Amino acid sequence: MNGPSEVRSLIASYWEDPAAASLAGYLARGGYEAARQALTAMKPEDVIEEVKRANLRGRGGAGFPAGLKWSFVPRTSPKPKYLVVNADESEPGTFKDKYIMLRSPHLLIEGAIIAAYAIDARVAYIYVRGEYDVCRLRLEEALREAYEAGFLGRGIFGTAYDLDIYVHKGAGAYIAGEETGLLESLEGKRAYPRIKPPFPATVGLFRCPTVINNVETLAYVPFIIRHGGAWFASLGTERNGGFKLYCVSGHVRRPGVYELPMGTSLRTIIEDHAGGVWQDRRLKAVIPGGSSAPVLRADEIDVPADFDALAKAGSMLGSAGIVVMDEMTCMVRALEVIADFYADESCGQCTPCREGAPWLLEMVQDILHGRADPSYPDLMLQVAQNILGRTICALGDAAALPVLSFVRKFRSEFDYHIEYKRCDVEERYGGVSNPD
Amino acid sequence: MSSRVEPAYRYLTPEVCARIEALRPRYPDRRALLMPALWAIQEAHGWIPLEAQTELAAYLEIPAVWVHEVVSFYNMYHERPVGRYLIYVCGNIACSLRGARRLLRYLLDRLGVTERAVTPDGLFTVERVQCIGACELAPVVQVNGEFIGPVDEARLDDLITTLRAKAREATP
Ligand SMILES: Cc1cc2nc3c(=O)[nH]c(=O)nc-3n(C[C@H](O)[C@H](O)[C@H](O)COP(=O)(O)O)c2cc1C
Ligand code: SF4
Ligand code: FES
Repeated sequence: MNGPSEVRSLIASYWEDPAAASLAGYLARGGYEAARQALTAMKPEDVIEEVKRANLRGRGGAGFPAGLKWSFVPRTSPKPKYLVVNADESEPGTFKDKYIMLRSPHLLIEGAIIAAYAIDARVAYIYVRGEYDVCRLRLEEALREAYEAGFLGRGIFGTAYDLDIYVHKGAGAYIAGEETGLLESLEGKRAYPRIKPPFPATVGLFRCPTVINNVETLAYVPFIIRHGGAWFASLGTERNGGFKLYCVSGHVRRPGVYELPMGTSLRTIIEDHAGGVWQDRRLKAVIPGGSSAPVLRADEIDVPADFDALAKAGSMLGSAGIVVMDEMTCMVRALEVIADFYADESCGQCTPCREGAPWLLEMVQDILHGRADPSYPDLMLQVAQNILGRTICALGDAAALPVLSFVRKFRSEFDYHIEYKRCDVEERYGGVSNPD
Repeated sequence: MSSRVEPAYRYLTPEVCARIEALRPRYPDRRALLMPALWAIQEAHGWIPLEAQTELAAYLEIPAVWVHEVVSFYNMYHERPVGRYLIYVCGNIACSLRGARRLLRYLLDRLGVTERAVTPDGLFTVERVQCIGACELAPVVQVNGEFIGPVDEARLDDLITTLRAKAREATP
């Protein structure tokens, strides 16, 4: 372990310094030294080994080990290889990648250079969601700076390695964030997810071997090369290396992005960092990993926020979009908002998702509008169960999991709405409840 | 390639074509140029009429249905004209927990329009959208790409007033 012994933040330390967004400011903080080291002093296999040692798990949602993913790219393939950066950031409750692109774009570019070198890609695309035009413009500017400085283009750092990075602008479709949907979108098609296998590592963009990584995943790579994989691993928990960008929103006093060691307890993140529940109200529920993640009750938040511990707690870290709900939240209405999203965003390829997601939405709406009978909650559970695992991509599961957890954990609110055609929460709080 | 830029094109102006050609070397396949080309058209004309889609298909030498299926799939390509100020109102979870749905109704009432319609003066289109990645600003709106939040009724009033004044300045 040759890294700094006491660190409070990694990526976020760049955000405190407004100059760090420019190349000059980035270089002043040792920028591009990691890429130089990787390209001039390390073999691609060594880079992959170091990232494996770091226990760097993918930050896009699934938590797949980054080094392992890179190692699946067939080195001997005569085809071009591609790196694709997933900057689609559309999981509700998630807004961290935006800060990386706006305030430390060179961290992403440097990480992408190292990753591309490790898999021998000569072209990388950064797919930025259409709504993030401010990020796209900032990235274009940073790329221009990097080209001018010779960190991109031909013969980088005097080696024989060439790399071009291009930004590609999305146009508003959640499903384009799913990695194979994203590849289809990059190819100029509707973002219909592909059936796997084959996996992108062998048949990806333009049918060539491709690695897709989230922005945050790549932004941590320069730290790993600079200070070593073992050091990075030691910052987190077992099998969950490093720090993590947690996004906290909803009913907290200080919504925002907090970079903390992987495995920081959910309670600590919410209470100590995000300032706790606003307006002196009590906590009711927390969605820990973007709206696809099963909801947790207030008494379930003493859990380390890492991929394994949250999975064990019956939810997931996902995109680390932590949405906090106070006691005045009507869980039926909250579920309606979430169900509306998945029904809206289903791409329509698989019957269970295309039909099931709108059914779930209609059933919640029937409950809210006094049109439901007592069989509804069980019927919803049944429909959700029948979507789970029966679809091409994980959006189907994402539509089902919130329903299963909301109905099971807050059943009485659903039953009350059905029986009395009124909102239990609203009655208890003088006619007010959220969402409105 | 220049022979394809025929004067008959109404939407694929020389400027739009120049933008498309500048991007061509980035992709090994001309179909992949489709999304950037659609952006170029929309930025030049404000929306993407069917005629522009047909022109683009001819220009890229791809079937017209490939163009149309993409335009109709992605929310941010406009198949109809939109107001000079396109106001996205996020109605997803973090925003609706903080009152976004009520604010959407307020804004529509205040402008006297329905969702996605254009106000008679051509200035505004309001659209409820899913999470736009700015939940820390909830409830948040986005006006021609710029995030504004947290908003309440008063801030929305100010926004409308400011945008109207801005439009008057630009067109005396
Ligand atoms: C419906 C759906 C939407 C997704 N949206 C995103 C997204 O917006 N950004 C992202 O990085 N990953 C998203 N993912 C995860 C990607 O499919 C993929 O796992 C990720 O980009 C891989 O990068 P990582 O290993 O670095 O996390 C989504 C997955 C699904 C199923
Ligand atoms: S699960 Fe849903 S979003 Fe995913 S491919 Fe099937 S229909 Fe499309
Ligand atoms: S929920 Fe509104 S911006 Fe994310």
